[in-house]
Amino acid sequence: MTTCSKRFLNGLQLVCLGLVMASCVSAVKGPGQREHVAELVWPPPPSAQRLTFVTSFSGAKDLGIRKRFLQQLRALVGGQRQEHLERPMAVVESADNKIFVADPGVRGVHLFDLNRSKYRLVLRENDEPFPSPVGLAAGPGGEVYVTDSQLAGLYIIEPGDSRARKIPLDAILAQPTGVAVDGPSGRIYLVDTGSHEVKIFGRDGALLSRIGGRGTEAGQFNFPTMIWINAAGEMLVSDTLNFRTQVFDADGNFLRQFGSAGDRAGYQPQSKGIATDSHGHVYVVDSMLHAVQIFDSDGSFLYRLGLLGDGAGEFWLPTGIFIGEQDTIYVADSYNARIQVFRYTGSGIP
Amino acid sequence: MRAPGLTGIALVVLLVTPVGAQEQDYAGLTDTRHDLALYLRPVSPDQGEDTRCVFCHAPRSQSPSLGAWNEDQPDHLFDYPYDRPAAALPAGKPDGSSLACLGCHDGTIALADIASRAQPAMAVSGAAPATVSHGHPVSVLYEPASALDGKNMASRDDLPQRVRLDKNGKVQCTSCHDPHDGTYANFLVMEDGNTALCVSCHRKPGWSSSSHNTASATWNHRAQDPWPYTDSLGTVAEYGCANCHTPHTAGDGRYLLNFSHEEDNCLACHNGNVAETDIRSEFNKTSRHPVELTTAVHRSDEPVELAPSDRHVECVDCHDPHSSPGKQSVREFNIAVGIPGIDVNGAATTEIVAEYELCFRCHGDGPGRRAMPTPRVHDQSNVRVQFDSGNPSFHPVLAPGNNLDVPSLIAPLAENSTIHCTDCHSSDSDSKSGGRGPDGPHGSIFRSLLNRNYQTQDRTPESPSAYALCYSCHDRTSILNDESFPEHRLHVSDNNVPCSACHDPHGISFTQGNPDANSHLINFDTSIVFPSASDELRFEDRGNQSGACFLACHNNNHDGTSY
Repeated sequence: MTTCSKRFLNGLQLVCLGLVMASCVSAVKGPGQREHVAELVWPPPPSAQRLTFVTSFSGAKDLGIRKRFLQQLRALVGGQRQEHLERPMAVVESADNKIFVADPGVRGVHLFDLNRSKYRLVLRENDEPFPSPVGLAAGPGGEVYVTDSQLAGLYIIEPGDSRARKIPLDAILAQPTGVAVDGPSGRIYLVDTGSHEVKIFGRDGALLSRIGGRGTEAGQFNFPTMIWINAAGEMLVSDTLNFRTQVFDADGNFLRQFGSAGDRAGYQPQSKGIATDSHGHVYVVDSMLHAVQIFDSDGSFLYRLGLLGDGAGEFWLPTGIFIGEQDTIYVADSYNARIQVFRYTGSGIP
Repeated sequence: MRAPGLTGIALVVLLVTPVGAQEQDYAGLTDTRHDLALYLRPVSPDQGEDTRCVFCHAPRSQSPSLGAWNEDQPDHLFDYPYDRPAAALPAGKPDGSSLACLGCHDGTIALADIASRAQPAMAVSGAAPATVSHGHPVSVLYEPASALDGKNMASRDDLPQRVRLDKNGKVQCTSCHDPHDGTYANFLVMEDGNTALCVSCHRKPGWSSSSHNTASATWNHRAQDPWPYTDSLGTVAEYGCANCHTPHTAGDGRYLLNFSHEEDNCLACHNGNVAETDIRSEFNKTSRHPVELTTAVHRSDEPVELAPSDRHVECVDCHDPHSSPGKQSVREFNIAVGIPGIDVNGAATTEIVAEYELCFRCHGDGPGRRAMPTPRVHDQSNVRVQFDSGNPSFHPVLAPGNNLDVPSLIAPLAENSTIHCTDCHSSDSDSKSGGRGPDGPHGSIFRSLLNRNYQTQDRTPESPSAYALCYSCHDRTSILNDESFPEHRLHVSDNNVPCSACHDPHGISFTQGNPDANSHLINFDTSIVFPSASDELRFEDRGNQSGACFLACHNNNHDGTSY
């Protein structure tokens, strides 16, 4: 993590701690939840703490980005710019300390540039909106990839660009959602939910291979959604309506799977966003459980963070997740219209 | 956690299987897009579940799993989305069964042409319009009394059986959709999702006979598609509510309208491509009611008189699209449906009884109105005050005029006639002007939204067209033959003095003028008429067809020049 990023998170941590402490006094959500809100670390004692709440933000102001005078003037004349999250579906932090949030509610991608203290709503060329931006991935060069499931396209936001450009792909997509980029090779892994496949593209958009097809066997999918490449180069896919997570090697060979349908912690009734931290823990967002569930790399269940609610560590139909430097965990908490930020602060032993 | 026993199992069955499942096999689900197990082996045969259910109804797990990090905390019970009490939920977010819908309909598993969010569509005491945003609200209590459109909402008991509220009395996705039954398109609970479904709750007076519910007009496929969320092949009657509204993906959400600029919802059809009359072109004319100037300012619950900052005009300020008259005169129809206005005394009225009461909303007492274009001895910008029937003289809009001898009037007009604002303020191509354009004050090539030419510049050569507006009621021959004022020809024709130099067309308020000086609409234009040598600027009424003037005009001094 860069020094700036550190400063941002540490600084905000102090500000936000105060805010959350104040808010949790009135935020009584139900039996058994209050103490979680107040602690701001999980699991609660006497278990060893693993996760720490860092902050939550709903717009540029929460990140210390202020409107300059000219922008204020422009907002008055040309209508309000969409600086507030409405229904965030995906989030990434790019290498140069920018946070991107895909938000179908505002039909665009929010770009919070923390180094330059600037906000921008990224649209397509000619100011065309994104009707359904649902997936984001950060590339090695600071570029960010965006999927729009309704436009059935993949887009790229180059560093310094204020528009997203469509990437010509060597394949027709049905309904793309999750996207991941393998840093070293630059290969793009795209989940095409509509065709129950993962498609792998080269940097130039050439289709290298397709994995899956509809079914319940190992290596098949039923409406897969989100995807993540871990440090070992393995590909983790949320096979959402098969209620499981599948793991493949970089070439798409099936390695292992875990999860089944159920209504309690450890099951995966509706797994979506997926990510890993530096210790190999697998974080799976489940929008039916309104939780982030954590598994070890073999799929053994470790912990469930979250319940339906709007306090810290609670979620309302969460979807996307991103884990960046220093095991900083961003969760797109869609119907709470915010991004919650946590950090893995436990030991390396599962 | 209670040990699962018989009660536990019974509870499981109740929670997992929707009400009525015992008698139903959910045949309507088969082969629909919600039949997600279509090509799949049973997901959990050991649990005895119907495998088609588990995608939305998570099967109850057999054993609690704590997780290795969790040393002694019990696991939380699963929140069955349709099983949470309303009291435990914050307002403004989807809850109940809608959570199960939105879990897939978020743009990932299913495309989210659903932007519905749980914002109550209620007018919160004078606050900014807390109206429907993006999509139709879900997870809101159905409370007709406090709804924005409360007076037109069906009572709870009056809702059709198929349109159901949840056990907390809330509108949910399931109020309009039955996810278990694909009999009707989009899993709707009834066949006609364009109108019948909407009017289950929204009972707009006059709707059933409204042309928007009955017209057989179709789109001629020219210019912009008037119906962006339909197949656009049907008739106005078939689309009904969907002519203007869309439940999930409205323009920018206000009132669930198709287009974010209010007027576009009307002008998409009223441009000659669906409706015969081309209103859109009227708004391209130089003088117009500027419906394009404001967006998102009009509110359905706004006060009759607007604050200066809210001053605006939209189509719906004069028209009620839910009880549109079709070919019938809008002028008469507005009165019939009772839209709000300001009465002759300046008081707000919920149901206008005359056209002028509608005009007075903006051109009467309210703040923010503009000055009249012609400077006069007695300036007055309040149109209601100008037309008051107690005035020394006035054009007969509110009541027949004072002057019982007006020889120039063209039959059937007579001294006891009354006229309407729209007899003068209307389209230059309206029927009164012999044109084929729309009647009414939408736009005109003539200033002040007048339907005919009306010159007010000094030294205008007299012609039938220069004063076409006046001559449409006051016979030119009679005027120029001096049948009323014996010096009309001398002034108007020989000396090129415009009618407006002496006459103030609306009227002169009794608070400013008096019957001796301001009969016959006399109120001089002070840019043309100046004080006399003896520093007087007035007319003196000396009885029928008799008077005197004290003024200077075209360098002629009148100090008591009489006739």
